[in-house]
Amino acid sequence: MKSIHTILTIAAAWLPLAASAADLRVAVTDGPAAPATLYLAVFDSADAFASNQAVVSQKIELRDGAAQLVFSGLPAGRYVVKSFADENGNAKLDTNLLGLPTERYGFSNDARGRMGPPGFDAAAVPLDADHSITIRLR
Amino acid sequence: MSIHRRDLVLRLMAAGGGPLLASLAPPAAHAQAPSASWHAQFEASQAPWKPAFATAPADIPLTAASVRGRFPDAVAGTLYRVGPAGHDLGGERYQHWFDGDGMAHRFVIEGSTVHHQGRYVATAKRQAEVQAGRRLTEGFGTVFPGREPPSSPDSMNTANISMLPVGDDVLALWEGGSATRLDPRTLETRGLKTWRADLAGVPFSAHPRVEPDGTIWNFGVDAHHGLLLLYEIAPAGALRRADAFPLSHMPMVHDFAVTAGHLVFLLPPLVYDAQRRLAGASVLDAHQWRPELGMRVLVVNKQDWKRQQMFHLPAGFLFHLGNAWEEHTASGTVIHLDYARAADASSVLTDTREVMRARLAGSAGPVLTVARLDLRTGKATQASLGVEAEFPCIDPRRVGLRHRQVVHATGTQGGLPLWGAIASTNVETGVSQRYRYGPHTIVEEHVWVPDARGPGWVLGTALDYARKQTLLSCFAADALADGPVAQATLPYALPLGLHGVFVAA
Repeated sequence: MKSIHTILTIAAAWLPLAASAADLRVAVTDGPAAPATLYLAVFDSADAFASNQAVVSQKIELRDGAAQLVFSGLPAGRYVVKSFADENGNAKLDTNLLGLPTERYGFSNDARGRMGPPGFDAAAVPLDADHSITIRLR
Repeated sequence: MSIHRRDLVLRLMAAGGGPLLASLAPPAAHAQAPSASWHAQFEASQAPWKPAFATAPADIPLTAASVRGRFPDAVAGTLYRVGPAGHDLGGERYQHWFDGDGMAHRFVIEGSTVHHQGRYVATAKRQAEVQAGRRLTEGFGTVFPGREPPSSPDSMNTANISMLPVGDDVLALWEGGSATRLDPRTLETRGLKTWRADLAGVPFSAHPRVEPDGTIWNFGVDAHHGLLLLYEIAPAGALRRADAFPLSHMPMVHDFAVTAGHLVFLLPPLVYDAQRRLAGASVLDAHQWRPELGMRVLVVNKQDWKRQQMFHLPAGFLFHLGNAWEEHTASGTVIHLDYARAADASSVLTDTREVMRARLAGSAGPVLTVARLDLRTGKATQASLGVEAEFPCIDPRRVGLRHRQVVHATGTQGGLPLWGAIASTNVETGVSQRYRYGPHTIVEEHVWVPDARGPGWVLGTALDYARKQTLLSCFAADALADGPVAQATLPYALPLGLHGVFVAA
């Protein structure tokens, strides 16, 4: 038993290196008509998503409410992309007195939470080769 | 099917017998019936009062009414009203009266002429759904299968409960989210009202109280986070203060009252359960009737919102209060209030749902009840006046002050919410007078219009479903029983609305 365990552990440890890195292309739509900066963050696990520890993040100016960009060289895995449009230039997703977002935001998979953000599994997209996704802001 | 077999099935149906019926009945007849079946049931119904809950097919351009009598000078102006009017879309029907897309109305009154205009509030929800030709998300009491959950409270905002003039806008009010700004002259939708940046999308309820000096008080309920929001707004429409406070066992709260020194909330034991909501229940069905909690009464100091006192009354349910005022006696301050009290929440859980498939559940109507809160002893008592009452309304000059007369609907015909008469009841003596409309007429809310020269006027709408006409009537406030002094008849029927406000010309 123990040896099987060890073999699996070693195999798992080697998997990310064994698989080639891939590019995640992200198109964002339905942003605000007004000028805004788009912030995107990529998460590789439920824990990282819950604690807001992104593996990589980018920002880009929205043009007519849309933008395209690439996260290059990500190890194979499952990822959640979170995005929001910062309209007032304060570099954060504004929320109201109750903590609900007041700027447009969206998640990969077009995932929607019920009374809150979606779970990691609902928003995760698998990445084992170059892949393109679209995020609709709401 | 043999007679005996049919008997058995009928008896099982009467007993709510599930398993056998589930196997016999087609899927559309299940308890969790698809909304299309509600649409079919409503369409097939022969109930004569059906126009009360029909969908208004489109906006209604400014139309002249025929007028009998002459509307007094004091009621020259505009009665704004709103109510759920878009109940059906794409062959699906909402399963609760309070779900429907709001249609705003203005009745423009000038002596012997009255004009009416109706216009759907262009909420984000309605615009997206009309374009799609189907419902995209849920309503207050209906969750359509396979639809997306709302992305924010305002994504299910139907702006369908009440109206409030503020500054250059008239606001169409909902409860779960923002007020919606309308142009008072055209009823064109201007967008959501944001009182302050951090209040964007925050619940603003549909029963603000406007004091005689024009100060507007309101509240909001964020049931999911267990927060009660309070608002104070200056007469010109600028926000003075807003804050949120935690409240345990958050109930459905539709209305409140103000006194000279306090805000008064009756908290019926229809309590929000976040787990039910997360499991997919509608806002309404996330609420649970918990009579063991009784009716709590929260009194908040107007100046210092952190100074709060809780009272307890026997369990009961209400939508509306008439008024509250405080008396300073030798032994301390006493708050008096009146409200339309029901024994339980069946009106919102059952009656206002069943009408959507043209059925009357037949629950007893609420009864006008006076309560007394002794701030020194913390003791609350109440007494029924024995008069069936809903949509209570007082002279706007008496808001928060001692009042005697409450104008209200009364006399249900066959069941809620088919009110048949308008009444004025003295809350100190219980003496009541009423005017009964015709046998086929449903009374809507009537408001009190003050007149410097006398007791004032009572102005309100009613639906004559036999003639398929909506009526606007004006009564002398001290002589309701004499019947209307003036009445306008529209050449069409409007579905029943909820609340309104009169704005003098």
